[in-house]
Amino acid sequence: MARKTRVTNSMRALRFAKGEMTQAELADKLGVTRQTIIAIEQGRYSPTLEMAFRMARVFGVTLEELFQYPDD
Amino acid sequence: MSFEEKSTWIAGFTQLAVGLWYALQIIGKAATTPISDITYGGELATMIVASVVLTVAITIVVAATAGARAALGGDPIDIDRSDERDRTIGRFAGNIGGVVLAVGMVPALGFAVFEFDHFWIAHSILSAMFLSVLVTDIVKLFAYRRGI
Repeated sequence: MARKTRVTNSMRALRFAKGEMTQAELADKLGVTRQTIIAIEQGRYSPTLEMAFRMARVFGVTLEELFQYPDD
Repeated sequence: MSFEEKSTWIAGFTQLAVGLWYALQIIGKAATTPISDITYGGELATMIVASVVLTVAITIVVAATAGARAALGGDPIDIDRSDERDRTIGRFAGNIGGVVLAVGMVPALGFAVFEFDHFWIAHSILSAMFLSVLVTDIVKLFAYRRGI
């Protein structure tokens, strides 16, 4: 049932680049729980496209800088 | 652990406890009374009311405890926040629970067609509902822990 998504992300690195933003601060900005941020960072949950855009906007990067998907 | 996940644990354990209590009451009656003479309305109502009251009461206690802990500088809480992940997990688990409920209705239909005693029809429906709720909770907890 549960599978790790193939989508990877640079959220952790971007959080640190953004003044060491905590997971709780990011969660507050996005209006989600801290557990959701943790799940996304660990690849246990793929956010909706709308949430992905909002995240990219928080970090000031493009979607592809935030999320990656293998070529094969 | 998110508040939604905690609530799922609380609901799951409460349902399991009251379900077990109900089963023991009925098994106790079945040992001394013919199946067709067993009355179960009172126990059924008690089980439903107890399940709702206990779930709400325990959830309030857990929320208050988490709130007090957060006020004292512990982890922040997300009591008032349910997000897209909670909704996705809820839908996913609800779909699987719905399948369990639908499949569980087949024996009840069979009992009705073949004119079994009301006891068997009622309890096969009750079992299907109970299993459906339990499976929904278990799938939710797996999804929270393992990912979706």
